[in-house]
Amino acid sequence: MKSSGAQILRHLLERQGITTLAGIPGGAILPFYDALHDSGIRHILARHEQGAGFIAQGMARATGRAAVCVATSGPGATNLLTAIADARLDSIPLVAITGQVPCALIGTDAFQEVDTYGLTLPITKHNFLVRSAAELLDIVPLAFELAQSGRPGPVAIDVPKDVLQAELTVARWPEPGRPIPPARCPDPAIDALAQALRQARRPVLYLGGGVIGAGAETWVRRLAHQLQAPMVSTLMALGAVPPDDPLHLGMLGMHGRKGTNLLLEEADFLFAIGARFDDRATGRAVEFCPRATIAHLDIDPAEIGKIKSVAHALAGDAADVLRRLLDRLPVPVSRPAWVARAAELRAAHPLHRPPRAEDPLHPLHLIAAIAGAVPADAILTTDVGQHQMWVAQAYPFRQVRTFLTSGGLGTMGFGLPAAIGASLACPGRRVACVSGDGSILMNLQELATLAELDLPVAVLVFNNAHLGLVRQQQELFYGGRYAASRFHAAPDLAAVARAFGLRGHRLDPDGDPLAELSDLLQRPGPCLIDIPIHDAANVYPMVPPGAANHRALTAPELVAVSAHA
Amino acid sequence: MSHVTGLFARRGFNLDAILCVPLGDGQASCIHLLVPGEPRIEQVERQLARLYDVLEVRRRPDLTAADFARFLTPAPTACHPPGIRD
Repeated sequence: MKSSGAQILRHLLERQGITTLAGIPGGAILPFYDALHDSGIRHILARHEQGAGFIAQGMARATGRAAVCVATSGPGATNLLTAIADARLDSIPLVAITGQVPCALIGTDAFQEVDTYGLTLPITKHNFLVRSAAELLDIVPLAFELAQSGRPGPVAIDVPKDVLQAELTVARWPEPGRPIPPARCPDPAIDALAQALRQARRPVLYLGGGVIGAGAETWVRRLAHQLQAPMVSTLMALGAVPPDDPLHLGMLGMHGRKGTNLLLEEADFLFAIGARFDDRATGRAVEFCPRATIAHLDIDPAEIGKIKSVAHALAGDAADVLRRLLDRLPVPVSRPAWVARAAELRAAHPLHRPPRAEDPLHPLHLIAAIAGAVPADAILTTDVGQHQMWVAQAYPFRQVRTFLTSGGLGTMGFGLPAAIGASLACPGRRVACVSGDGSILMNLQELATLAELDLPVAVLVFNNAHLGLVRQQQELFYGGRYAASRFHAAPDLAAVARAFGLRGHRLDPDGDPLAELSDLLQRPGPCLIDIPIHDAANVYPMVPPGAANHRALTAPELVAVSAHA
Repeated sequence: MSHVTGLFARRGFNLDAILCVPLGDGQASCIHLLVPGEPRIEQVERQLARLYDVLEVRRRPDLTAADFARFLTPAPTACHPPGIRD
């Protein structure tokens, strides 16, 4: 029996185990939607293709498995680009399928024609322009294999309309694409690292998102305790180690705590695990860990030596290498002075916040209230800006894949659709999207998707009527010249939410806003809560962009309260 | 080809010349890249090696800029340069 290219594509997705995908139909991709019509695959109709891309990302980030987004040619494809680039920077397995004008019209400036292959080339792990229906049988499994093998990433498949309509008899279906195990890291490299770690006097483990990607969080904690080595985390590693592990000093870098960055100044050995020495983590790279010998374990050999030269290079799967490393370190190492120094630095440099009674709507109090009101396995997404950094600094993430945030690309508009995707992938769990009044407007249309799906997603908007992190930088580094960072006309977001068919609330600053917030979060179903915060509240500490991490600015006027008090 | 040249552009690597020769039935090609004075040559190699379409990366210290330049001269030998094919 003959199948159309569209039916073949659908069946290949089914064989990959895809049960839900997000997209928006349009002319060139319509044959595929026709094939979806009688399929068991659930299609989530987003309201903008970027929303579809981030819904798929939310599914992928929450599960670690590749998710699929679909768009038509031309503007459908260009609207997906930001979500694809975002997946690339954060190593998220995503398969983006776009319709294309028929082969005969390619290159003629046809209606809704754009060079999707050319546009996606620099922002994907790999990309394909499918030339025939038969090619789908190779390309679709390969796309899933590539997206999920080694360092994960997005793969784009551009399918011309006539390829979707072409008929073909499929004699034998290909095996679904599966992740290929990475090459095994050779023993001598691990032997040498074990010896160096034993001999180090002041070692630090620097954890990146690769720890979560590899499922290596248990091994990392075991190693830290066996070596009595403090751990620091990047934004992408939050959740791998609980905040109250005595050896965990939390996030390093631009908005990391001062003690965390100072500890790295003193370290004589830095073991980077699935981290890529991003500039927001390292500050001025030449001054990062100036006294340390560096070892770098990464699944992507190209990351090793990219920013800093290393003494120990280990390419491989983090869980596998750490397990074998621990085999070589059977005797616990004792480093009481170094552990005491880490504890001292941690205690000496807490986050600063005003007393709760004085300013209950200070973002750090809000985050504590959110953490207290939702279950420990709740998933938090954020947008990008001050609210994102406050969450990263203060929310007690205890499990992997409970914090979904746009780290590398820093995409405002990520949070709401990613929360929808996470909720689709993890039914029964509470999902909260912490956003800002700038970010939420960038994919606001997905409130309609949320209302339609009726998912347990709470959208919490930290509203300061500004692009807060821009305003903060203008205050600190541009002489207080606030160019284009203030919103003079602010929408009533609670009313907006109600117009979309959701519960919409605005916290009353004169009542007991934290109790009200907690109460609203206990109620089931989707909602938006607009939370007025002080427009002058800044994220501290802050390392000036381009400066070394030890040059962090802090807020001396605020009272110190331990972050986990 | 576009994956390879695009990589040099977006990573800011130096690239002075490209020669691309199809191999066998044209399913694969051999691309010669003239990368002079690039201090991050190991990074270049690693970034190239991780492209899905790249089968192998090898250094060719035996070739010089002059080997590339010979292709631009309209000499009859230009079509069959010795020492270029791997």
